[in-house]
Amino acid sequence: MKNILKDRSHWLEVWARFRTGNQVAFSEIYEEFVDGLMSYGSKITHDRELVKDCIQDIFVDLHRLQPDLHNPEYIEFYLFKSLKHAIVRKSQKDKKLMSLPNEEMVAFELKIDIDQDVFDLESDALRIEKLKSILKSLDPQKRELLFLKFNSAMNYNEIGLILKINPDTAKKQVYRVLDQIREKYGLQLFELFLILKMS
Amino acid sequence: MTPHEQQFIENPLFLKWVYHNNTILEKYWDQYFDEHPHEKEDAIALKSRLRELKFSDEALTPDERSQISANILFQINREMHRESRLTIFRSLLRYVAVAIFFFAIGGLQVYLYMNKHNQLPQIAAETFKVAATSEGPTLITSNGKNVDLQRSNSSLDYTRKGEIVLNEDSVMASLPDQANQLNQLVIPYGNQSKIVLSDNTVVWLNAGSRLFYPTTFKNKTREVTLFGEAYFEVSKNPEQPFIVKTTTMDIHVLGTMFNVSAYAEDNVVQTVLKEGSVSIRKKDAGFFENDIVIKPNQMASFNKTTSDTKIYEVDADFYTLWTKGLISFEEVDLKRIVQKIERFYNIKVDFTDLNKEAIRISGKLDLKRSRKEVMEYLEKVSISKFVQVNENLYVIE
Repeated sequence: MKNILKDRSHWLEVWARFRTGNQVAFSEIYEEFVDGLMSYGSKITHDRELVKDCIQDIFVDLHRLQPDLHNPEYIEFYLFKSLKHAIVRKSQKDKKLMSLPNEEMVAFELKIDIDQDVFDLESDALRIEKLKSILKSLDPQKRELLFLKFNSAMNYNEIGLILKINPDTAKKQVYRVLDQIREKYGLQLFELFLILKMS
Repeated sequence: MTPHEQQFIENPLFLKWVYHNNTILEKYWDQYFDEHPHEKEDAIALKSRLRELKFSDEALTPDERSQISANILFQINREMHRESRLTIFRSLLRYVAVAIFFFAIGGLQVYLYMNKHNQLPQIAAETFKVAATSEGPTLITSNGKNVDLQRSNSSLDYTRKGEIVLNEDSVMASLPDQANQLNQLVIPYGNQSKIVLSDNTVVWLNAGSRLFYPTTFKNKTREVTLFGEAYFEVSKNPEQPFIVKTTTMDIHVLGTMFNVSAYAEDNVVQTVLKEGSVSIRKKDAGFFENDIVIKPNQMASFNKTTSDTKIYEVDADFYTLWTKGLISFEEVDLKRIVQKIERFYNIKVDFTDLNKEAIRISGKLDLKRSRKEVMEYLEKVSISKFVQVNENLYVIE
């Protein structure tokens, strides 16, 4: 059960196989994480082609560096970190119009996408607007924090490493953001989670 | 926030369940709630609240996905190529070719690369079909010599150094292979043949088949190329894996017994394993698609139209009986049986009623009996009428 669940220990085992040069393990890593990477990358930049190029680059690097790599605590974390780094570096190198000055300045836009079937639009329109403004008012790092915590289910160590903050700080920030929103907007837990769901 | 809710928020498996659910996660949580019934209500409520808003993700289209993987492979290939140019060991090139090959073949670039470096015989692979009109079994040696094997049920033996034993009674000299050339054994319809390769691997070739093989296996892998049907008993040598190449897939084996049916005119390629283990790599496999591994008494059936491979539990003996002149079948389409009969007797059998093609029949045919008896038997089990139009043509009504 444990391994079929593809939890951390499963991926560590895959990673170990990959490091011995097992190409099936390499493909398994690609197949599992490419969608998550697209999702993460497209929140850092709107330039879809740039994200695709960078995904390609990090897998080629991964393959080339394979003998020298250490065991990351979590592959997804390692890939996310590499992707973010690659996007920022490439956008600078290519002198893109929307060039990203450095990793800390990434805007990390979270878009709200409403499932029309679930929502009664009229009664919820107001609330959606409110939620949007909540997200907008957060600083980009907090938005990324929420994405990594909830959508990517990363632990605080990994979140800390990606955002270059201390793991304890990452955890405190997650709960502080929850509290902040609750105080500021007087929302119930229900809405709180709706916000977290949005990415 | 209740302690339970906080606990769930800190559980990656819970968040995956909410945001990226799949059936395995679903099962995991079912089981979890069976064991912790008091937590179920909180968790379900939390989940449904979280699910109310749809997640907006920039998804990759399947095209983009395969384009990215193709590019990755191409770059890896190019880098390895560059590395190998830096070193004086030319053998590395071959190693690289094998590595990439194993890795997954897909894109044109790699395919061309392979063709250049892997010394595949120059053959019109895709549409290849042994001409039904050619005479008896023929051996075309790697030195360009044509040898008539004289019998419709012939045998060749390469295990003696420097000579080839033909039909267990005559001996011919065998010269070393010319560079990039392979021997070619051609078995037209109405014939069968058995060949013992230099490594003691035994191959039975069915009617309408062709096998390419070297006189001795000098490379890191033992490679043969098959068109048509053959039953292999591969001699064990983990140091030098055995690979059967077909137009649609490659079968990697250690020491094992298996049957491959890969006729150009059939829509399916079937691999049936009797003993040991084999792994099958489709030629057009997605770049990152896994190999298909089958166990004894399983059949991997590859559909050329849909490019799908299905695994069936079978009795492997059924599929190897042809080596003894028997055909056994269970719930098999009449069309498929008729194709085998056509090849075996080198005749043509037409269907006037196409519905008859799909009739499923079971039974056993002894091909050593007369053609007339076999046709009468088939008539009975398929409840159809076989009309002989001339010496080589039948019509099923």
